[in-house]
Amino acid sequence: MDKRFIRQYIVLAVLGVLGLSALWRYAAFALAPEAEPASGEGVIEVRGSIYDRDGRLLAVDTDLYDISAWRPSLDPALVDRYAGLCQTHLGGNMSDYRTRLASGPDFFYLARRVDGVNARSFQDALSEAGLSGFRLDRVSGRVYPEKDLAAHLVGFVGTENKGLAGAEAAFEDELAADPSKARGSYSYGQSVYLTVDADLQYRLEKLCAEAMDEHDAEAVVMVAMEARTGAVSAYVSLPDFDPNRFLDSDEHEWLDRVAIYAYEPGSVFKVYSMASLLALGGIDEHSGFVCDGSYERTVTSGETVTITCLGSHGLVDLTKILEYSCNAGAAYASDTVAGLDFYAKIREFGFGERPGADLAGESPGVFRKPDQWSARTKPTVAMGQEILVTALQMTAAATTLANGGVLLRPRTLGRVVDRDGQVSLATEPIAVRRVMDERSAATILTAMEAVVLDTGTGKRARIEDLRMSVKTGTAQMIDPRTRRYSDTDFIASTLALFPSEAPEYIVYAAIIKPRGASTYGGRIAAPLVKDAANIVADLYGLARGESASVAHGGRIMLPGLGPAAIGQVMPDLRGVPKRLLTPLLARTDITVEIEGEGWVVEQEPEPGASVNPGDTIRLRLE
Amino acid sequence: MFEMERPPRARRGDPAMLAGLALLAGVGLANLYSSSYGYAMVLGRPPSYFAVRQALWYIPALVVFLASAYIPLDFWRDKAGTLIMVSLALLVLPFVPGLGIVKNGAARWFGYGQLTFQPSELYKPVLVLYLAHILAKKRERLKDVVYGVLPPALVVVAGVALVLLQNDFSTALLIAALALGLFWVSGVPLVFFGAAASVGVPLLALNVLTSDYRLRRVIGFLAPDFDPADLSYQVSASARAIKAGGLWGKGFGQGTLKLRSVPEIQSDFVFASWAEETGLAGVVAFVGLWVFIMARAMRASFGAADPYRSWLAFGMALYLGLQTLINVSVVAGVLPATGMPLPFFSSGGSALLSVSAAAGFMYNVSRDPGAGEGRPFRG
Repeated sequence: MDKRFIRQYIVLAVLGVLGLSALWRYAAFALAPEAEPASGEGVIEVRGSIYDRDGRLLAVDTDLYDISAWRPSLDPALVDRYAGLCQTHLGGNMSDYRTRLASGPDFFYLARRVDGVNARSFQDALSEAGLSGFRLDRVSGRVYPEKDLAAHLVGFVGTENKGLAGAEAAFEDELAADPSKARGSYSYGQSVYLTVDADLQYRLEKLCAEAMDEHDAEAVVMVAMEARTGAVSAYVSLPDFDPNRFLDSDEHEWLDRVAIYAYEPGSVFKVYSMASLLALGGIDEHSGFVCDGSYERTVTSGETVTITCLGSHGLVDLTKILEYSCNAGAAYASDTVAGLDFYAKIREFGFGERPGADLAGESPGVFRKPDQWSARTKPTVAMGQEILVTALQMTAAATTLANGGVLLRPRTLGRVVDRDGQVSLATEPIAVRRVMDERSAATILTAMEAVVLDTGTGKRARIEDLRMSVKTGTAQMIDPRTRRYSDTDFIASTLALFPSEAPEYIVYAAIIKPRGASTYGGRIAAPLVKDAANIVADLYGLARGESASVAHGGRIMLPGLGPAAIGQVMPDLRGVPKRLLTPLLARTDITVEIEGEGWVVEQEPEPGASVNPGDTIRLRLE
Repeated sequence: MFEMERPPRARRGDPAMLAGLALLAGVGLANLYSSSYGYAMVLGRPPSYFAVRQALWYIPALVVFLASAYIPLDFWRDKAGTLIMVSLALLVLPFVPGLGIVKNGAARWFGYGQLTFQPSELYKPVLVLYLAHILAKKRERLKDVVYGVLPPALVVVAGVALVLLQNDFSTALLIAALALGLFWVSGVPLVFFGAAASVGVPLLALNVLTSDYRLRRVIGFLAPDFDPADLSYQVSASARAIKAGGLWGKGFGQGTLKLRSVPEIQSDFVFASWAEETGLAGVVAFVGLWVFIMARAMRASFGAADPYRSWLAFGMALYLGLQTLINVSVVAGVLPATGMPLPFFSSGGSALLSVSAAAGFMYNVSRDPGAGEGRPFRG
């Protein structure tokens, strides 16, 4: 010991102690009893399943295994035996196994995504024969038994079994297994029940596929929604893909055209623009506008704005604007309100905001603020251009018509259920806001019934024994190359609520870029929606045969459409203008007393009471 | 005639030290190949992917070794001040936008494309060189804290601070420990260490507690069963590898756990593969080789004629020894998981150059113990 280096010795002693303690640990590990085999390591995580609303399985984890070989651990003399076992338990070709086992890379996969039964029998056979050199890795075993059914809604998982799209991504937290709550060697995620009905989904997908084929369209989108709850019953976006093999598809097929694809909706949007004008008080159901084939207005800057109509519709009111889909009428009607108010009201319908249907990556669409508007924008928005919407928004906005003016949030999640079957989350209808009063909603709904009349654009959607409120549209599309409206690309769409007297379902369909004989919404989308409505009505047993409008020649039952009439039952005449009451004065069997000017606010007897000859009807107007 | 102050010497260095280092480097590269080929193939690379990349780094590493081993130590001493400033400046580069590279949440690298460099690896040997020089120069005044100890201490604090900013906590600790070790052997009074501890320990605790992932690692270390799937996955996986190795190991190239079970097997946990394949016997042999190398380094240090050479050899040995000890302890679960590579075993270019320089300086001192002042210095 050299005393000069005493400090160095101290440092070395410290290092030595540390080294010995590490060595001790190694010795303790190395001399400990044999550890459990590596394949039993950790907790196996089982992702929750996805079901439709009735418990039909849409996505489920299964035990799949990747089986690899490690050639240095194999006995070259036993290659035939290995290959035989592989063929027996894993399928495939014996000579192929033999070649790969005999030469080639040291590490390779014998088979991937082998199901649990075969993998275990292979493993058992190996251990029975005392053979080593093979390794089983449990891998992401997500299986989608319904294949492409509702593929965009269900989504898919990537490696590591993490959700990448659709419900798989949106409900990742619920579906993912929580290893901290492991039971034994397994931990489970919760199961998710969607609102979608696989039965309806299947039928509507089939319908849409036929339409896509028939009209040579680029894509077809359809949404069916429960009008009183906002629950999405069918969520169709074609083309679709098989989530089991999503890598074989491309972005065109992955694109969710219900919630993510945004487009100019065209005339179907008149439902919401007219509803906005009505709610704002700019128009009422009797406001008339003259359509002489175009809308023309000279703005303060001196610029003249012209919008051509599809025809000269003459004097049009709210009903006729919807019935004929009159562009000029809609444009003139939009002049009755200020741009800012119009913008704010349309926003209230949910346009320009994410619908919040628990979907991954919902688009809010595009609705520019009024300070970015040109002189054309307001009348153009009124007819459904210069605003980008999603099919989900178009459908959800219709809940205002079915719920007395209250917008419901669209929902795709029904409930979340844990491993024990306990419901940990159940969704309920959510009212977002009141957008208009009940009367305005009823007025629009009634006016939309005129669309299926023989003179309406939606006559091809008519179902004789089911009252439907409909609007069709044929939207122009911007050609991305010329940045102008294309002459060949259109979106033909139709919206329907039924039964009109108390809507239970909303169906919306859009055919994107049809290349067939017709591109008009009324010609190709309306029949599609009609077929869909028939399916919905049959599947859910909607009461039929209550249709009055067509069987009775139409307009009499629709307030504002024609002269008032009183049969054997007292109708609800409230809101009917004085000029339409004049035929009643000619009646000799009953006495009609009219008091005041304007519209009926009070009536006697009440609606529904029977009317007999000699009765006196009192109507008070304001 | 010239009167030479120091006779020209073609002294040979310590052949035993050289042999020990060469054996270590060779075994390290072989082990890297054996441990990483499964993982390389899982990545879809040729089996020798990591090993070949590392082997290519041995070419510049040899140049660095020869430079530090054969360029006269007085030349290096002359340049020590410049080198420490340059290496401090380089520590700033990872923060420069465009140059800096962020990996795994840490800004420790700079460079462009495939060519990246971790400047803290340069700082470690340069700091030892600088401290050996400056402490030897000031050794008569080391009792005076303000003039003697404070200036070099500030250089250390600047380096530690920059490395901490790079989110490299373990390297910062290693640097601090190295510097304290050199201050210690150069005879700085005990009072200084007491003062350093009273400032450093609270800072250390604060640093651990304010960093989420660091705290998780410490928790993972203290309670490995707390969340084995996440926190201490590497450690429990490497523990399995050590257990699987047993007394004699599975044989070189025969380990299977390394295929995928141990994450980062080719870098910080490469020793787990060594333990699996060579068993406890291999671990003991590894420790034995290091004891031998350290003994040869101490022989050079204690035999040097001046304090600069002595402390240089000691400091470099301390650097290599401490880093090895920390890595091996982490793999065994004795210390919390850190990002500390194993000298000559882990993949990584900057680290290889750094440890080659350290080894070169140790060898240089054995080759040239200095003329001294005709008497052995007082340590």
